[in-house]
Amino acid sequence: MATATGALTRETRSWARLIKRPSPFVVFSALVGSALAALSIYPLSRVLLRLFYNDGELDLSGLTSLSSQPGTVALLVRTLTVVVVSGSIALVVGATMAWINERTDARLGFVTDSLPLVPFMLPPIAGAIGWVLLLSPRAGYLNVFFRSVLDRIGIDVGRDGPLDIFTWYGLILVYVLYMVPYVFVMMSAAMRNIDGSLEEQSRVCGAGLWRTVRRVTVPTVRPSVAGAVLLLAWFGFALFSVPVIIGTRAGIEVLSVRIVNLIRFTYPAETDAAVGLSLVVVLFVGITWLATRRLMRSTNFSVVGGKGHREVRFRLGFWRWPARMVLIGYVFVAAVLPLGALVLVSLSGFWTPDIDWGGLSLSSFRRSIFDDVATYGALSNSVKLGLVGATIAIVLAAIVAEYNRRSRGRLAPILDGAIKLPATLSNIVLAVGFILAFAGPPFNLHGTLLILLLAYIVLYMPQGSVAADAAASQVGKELVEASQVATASPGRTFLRINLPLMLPGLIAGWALMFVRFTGDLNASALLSGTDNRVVGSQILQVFQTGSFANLASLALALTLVSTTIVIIMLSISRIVSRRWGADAGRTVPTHASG
Amino acid sequence: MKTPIRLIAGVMAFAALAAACGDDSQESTTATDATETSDTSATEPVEGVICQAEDMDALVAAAKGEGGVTFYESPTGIDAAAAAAFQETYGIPVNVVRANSTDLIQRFSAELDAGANSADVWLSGDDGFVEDAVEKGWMIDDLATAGIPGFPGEYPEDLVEGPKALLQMRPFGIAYDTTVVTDPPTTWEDLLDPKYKGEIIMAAPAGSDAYIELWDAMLAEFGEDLITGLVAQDLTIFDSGAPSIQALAAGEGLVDIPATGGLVSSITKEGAPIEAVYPDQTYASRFVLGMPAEPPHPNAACLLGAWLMSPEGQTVISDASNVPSPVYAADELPANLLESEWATTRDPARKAEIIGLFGG
Repeated sequence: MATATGALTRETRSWARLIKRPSPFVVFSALVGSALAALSIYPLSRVLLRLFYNDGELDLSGLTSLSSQPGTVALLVRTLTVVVVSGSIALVVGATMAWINERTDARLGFVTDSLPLVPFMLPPIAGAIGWVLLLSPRAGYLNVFFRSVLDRIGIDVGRDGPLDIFTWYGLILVYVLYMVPYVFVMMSAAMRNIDGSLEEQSRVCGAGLWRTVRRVTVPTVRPSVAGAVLLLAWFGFALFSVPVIIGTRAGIEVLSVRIVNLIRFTYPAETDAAVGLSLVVVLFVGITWLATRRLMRSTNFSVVGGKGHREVRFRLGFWRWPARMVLIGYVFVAAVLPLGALVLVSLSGFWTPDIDWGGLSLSSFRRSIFDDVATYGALSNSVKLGLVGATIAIVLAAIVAEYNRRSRGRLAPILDGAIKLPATLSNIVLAVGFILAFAGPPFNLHGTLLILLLAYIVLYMPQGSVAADAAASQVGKELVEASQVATASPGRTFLRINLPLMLPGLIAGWALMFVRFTGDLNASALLSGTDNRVVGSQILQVFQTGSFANLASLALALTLVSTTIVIIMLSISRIVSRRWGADAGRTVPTHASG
Repeated sequence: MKTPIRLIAGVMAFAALAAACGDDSQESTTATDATETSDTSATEPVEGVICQAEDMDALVAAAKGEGGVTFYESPTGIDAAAAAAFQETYGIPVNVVRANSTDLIQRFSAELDAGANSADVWLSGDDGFVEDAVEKGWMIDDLATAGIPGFPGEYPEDLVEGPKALLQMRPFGIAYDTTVVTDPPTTWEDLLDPKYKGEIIMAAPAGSDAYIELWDAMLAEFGEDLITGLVAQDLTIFDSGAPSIQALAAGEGLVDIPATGGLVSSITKEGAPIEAVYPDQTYASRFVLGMPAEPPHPNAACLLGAWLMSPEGQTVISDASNVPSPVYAADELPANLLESEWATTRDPARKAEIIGLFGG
């Protein structure tokens, strides 16, 4: 041993080398991350490549088709109008609802907390069909009801109306209904974490309710607004089920519908034109992403670490119940009404405003679902894919989330971006990419369940990642550091500390993924054929060729499956949260995560 | 973390390389050729032969072993009944792919292009397509060679035209809602009455070649005035027959054209109060059977084809669609059906002209 400092230096150096060498767990996470990234990037690169090359030679028909295809500009304008208008409305409605639930005393506990999740359990396609049954100009149930009410007060609107779902406002209404939950969840999380003392100080200084909201609450949540805007852009451009059901008959064609038509419902498939339009979608979302990036960086997270959290809520007084009505009203309009229409048509056997209340029976439902080989097969395929896929997806998301959180290198953000970016840009584009990349040689996954599984995982990974990231970030640094100080390996820390604390959030994420997988339409419309039928594509086929009763029954079956699974999983999540989670030991329950 | 970075960089580079190289091999698949070698070994597929069984019992046994059969069809109202009856007789589940004619052709063609045929048996009103398919090697060109034991059995040989066998003839008529229409129209010209303005639902002519044949025959018989008169009635147009009859049942209009027995039965079996009237001067669409050259379930395909042509199958189909069998009850069909020249010429210009007349 040399001098004291010399010995320390040598020992420190060898210790340092040990710490720097990555543990097997970290290597494993990095590999998982890169595999996912490759799975995401490869289809996207095939799409971009197809813009310039086809069959080994230079072929710019993807780009030239943008100008040669008729009505492209009108198509883009229409799409932008629908997305921007519905997005703006959804932002206001969702933020208001989040504020009511989080910052005022109108909250009704678990009931209002989970209200906006209810439409998640009713897939957009089921909701769109429900709204057609409600507001179709002549036979829509609501229209029939309104006409009889107006009749009683002496106003005759004729055989049609007063409302019509096959119009701009009808389409935008349904878009808004399904965009609001995204805004609500995003803004709720932000508003929950506002330090109440800021608002309290504002009020102590004499500022009224509205002034406080304007000067204190809104600026604090601005980063989340940016996040919500990006989410809305992504969702709005990718949405296919609503515009195909409502927009087609309204004469309002949007980008997603045109892209699917060009590939799936045209022979020979006009892949070049579809790819050209995909580029436009990518541009739109990319521009939105760049615009919101700076605002998003300053997002705050609150961490469970034992620090106190002041919860201060505005007293609404008289306005409490009207505010609650707003929340409940949303659920009624978004879920209860369309579900009711689906149930009525399914039990009636065919769609008619002359409901034969005595003749309602389950026979049509049974015939549509259980006696039809194709439909039953589609339903069971979807459930299988949902159960297996959601599990795989959320586990992968958790591993990647943990890797991101712990890594300080530059690889983590790159992988994170690679996994999230393609699907963020557009579901439809990625689905097109999957056809180009995996359907033909060398993979030959055309017509298999595997290609659907891969597509679903990649398409919905961003949402799974968000859930997993949120769950991961709730694990306090101090707890992890304490574990490291006690010389536990990263893998062991993950299993004993992170995972139990992340579990409630992960279970909620699993439920979300399950609903997305089973209710998917974007990838299914393009990748599902005769041999790998799933619910989404089956609904589309029935919509085009079959009866409304069959359609309603199928949409209903899908909703029942989604809702049952989600309720079960969320209950499990709450039980786990109470036993192992951050609230373990506390007597006062706090909000459920996610 | 330096070690993983090299590993990951390798993975990414590989992915990029695969993307660049993958494109070359992508579009090299063509529809697999039906013309095989003339090698007569037992396992080599012979051109035009789908199944090889000594007799019906052997065929049934082989078909059962295949586990299912996929039926691509466009006529409305018969899929559930046909599937149920076939399954009851033979215990083989039937996977029905029902789509309107145009979509069915598109789907089948796209699948064959990708080299992934899923269809075992084909039934559609577009008999011109069967010939196109034969030219591309997608369907066999002579049903007699398929290998069905005892072909054609009780099915009249003169109804077999090479790759096609006639299975249904559906006269076109006018469907109406019996609860609202007390005095139904009896001829096509009755629809020009002002009371039907805005109340006529129609299936788009582009939805099926059978519709093009109909309107071609009507144009020859009644002239353009009928068509322009109908268009002036503010037609509500749907992609195909199925959604149009649904809309009629929902009260979106008073009448639906062109309606067939099968279309009406598809909704009346659910209890809707719809009936149809068949004008004396009308056209009947022809639904023909075709056999894909390389079905996923060859023996089951032969069995289903044979069943559809048999008296039992024909009874099931005609009862389900309320249309007499052209094979075993031809005398019950209307006597003086109109003729369509387009059915033989298949001139694309004429088709476009007809579609254009309706504003499509």
